[in-house]
Amino acid sequence: MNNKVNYTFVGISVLIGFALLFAFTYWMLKPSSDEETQKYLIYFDESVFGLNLDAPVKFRGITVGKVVDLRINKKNTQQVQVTVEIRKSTPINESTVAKLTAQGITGLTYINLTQRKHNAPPLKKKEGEKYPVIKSVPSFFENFEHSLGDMTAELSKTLKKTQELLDKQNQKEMTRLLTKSADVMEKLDTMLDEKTINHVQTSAKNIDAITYKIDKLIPNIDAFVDKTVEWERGINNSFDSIKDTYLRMDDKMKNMANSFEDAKNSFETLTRELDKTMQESQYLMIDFQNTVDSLEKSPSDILYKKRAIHKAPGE
Amino acid sequence: MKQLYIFLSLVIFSACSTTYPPYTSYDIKLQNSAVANKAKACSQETLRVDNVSTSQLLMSTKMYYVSGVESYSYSVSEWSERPSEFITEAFVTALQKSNVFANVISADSKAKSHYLLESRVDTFMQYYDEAQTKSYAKISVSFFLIDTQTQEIVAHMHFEQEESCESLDAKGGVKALKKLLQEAANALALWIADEGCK
Repeated sequence: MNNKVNYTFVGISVLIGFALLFAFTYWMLKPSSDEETQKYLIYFDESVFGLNLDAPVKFRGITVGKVVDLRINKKNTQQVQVTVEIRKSTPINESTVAKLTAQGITGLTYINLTQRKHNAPPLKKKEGEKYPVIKSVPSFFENFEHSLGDMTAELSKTLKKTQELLDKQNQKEMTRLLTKSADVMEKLDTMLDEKTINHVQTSAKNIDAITYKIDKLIPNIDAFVDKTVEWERGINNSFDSIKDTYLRMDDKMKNMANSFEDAKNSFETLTRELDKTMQESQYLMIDFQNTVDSLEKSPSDILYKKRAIHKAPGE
Repeated sequence: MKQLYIFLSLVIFSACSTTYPPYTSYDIKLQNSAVANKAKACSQETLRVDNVSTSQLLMSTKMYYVSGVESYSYSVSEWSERPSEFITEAFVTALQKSNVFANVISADSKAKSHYLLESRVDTFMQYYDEAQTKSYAKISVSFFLIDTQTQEIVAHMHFEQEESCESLDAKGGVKALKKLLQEAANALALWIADEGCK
């Protein structure tokens, strides 16, 4: 058997095979330009129970990255520092917040990103930080825990108040009130005996009879009202007539008053004229009296001035 | 008969030859009157000044005087206007110039008034003593301010004053009476400013 093996050919073939295998592996593992990622830091103030490495990071329900590191923050040991790797095409800006969200009933947790303002500036790395930091918000369980704590405190207060309300003194008062209520109920029961109930029933019957009579009376009352309305109209007409008469009388009285006023003014004017005339007459009478007196003392003065003139001082 | 007519005519016409001494007429016109210090205190009211009430002696133009207890009239002197008239005129003029009332009207005005001023002159005369060696003039006048709505007297005043005469004749008496009338008018203006429209 001629066993002629070309070892050189075999060696070259094996080398070529390995080279192709490496090339295929590189091709398979090489990240495309779209899948280039950016690392971000997230600091959580709560427990990240259920969050593991490679846990998904979702934006509006789409997986955009994964958790690549989990550790306690060296600067603040109350916080958990989570490093995530997110596709660069994801719109992360300053308003983006991260929230721990439970993944069904599996107990696993993922990080949910929410963008509050779409027009906020892009998130940039700050001085002293290795990567840009995405703000975190409390998870549903954190909020629930806080609310539960508040509710417990309020419940405690309410219980305390209730305890204060139901102290011994108030209990005694309540007991007395209930006793009084029982007494009142007992008296009411005594009052509502057979006789009283019969009386009430009789009264109800009487009221029923009265109502029946009133029903029969209503037509008469209606007729009476109609007649009253007619009578009222008649009275109104009479009053209108009286009012017209009064107004006419008022006008007449005003005219009479004006006439009297005119007459009064005329009379006053006449009186003044008469006064003036009487004054003139009086002056005339005085002059005439003086002349008569003079003639009476010396009648000859009518023709000749006979009477001696009495000289006054200085004349 | 003809001769009888001629005789009677001569007798009657001879009476016209009787002569009388010349008469002197005196007039009193006041020049100034007091200005009240409450000008227009009654700025909305009208005052009527009634004619003064006097004795008959002051209603004649004869000028009378009293010597002792006797009353005479000057024979050659007389008033040019009756004293009752010029006294009234003096009071009206004084009140108009005092500016206290919005209007001051005389008694014969047809206008209505809020107040009426009545005046009674008791004396406005020249007096001589019995020996006729001294003479003085005297004025005595009462004023009554009446509310014409209620016809009640609101205020009243009496003014009485004497003044010696410069000369023992009618002229001296007229001068003294003029001065007294001026005093009375001034007193009236000041009184009405105080009492009117209270």
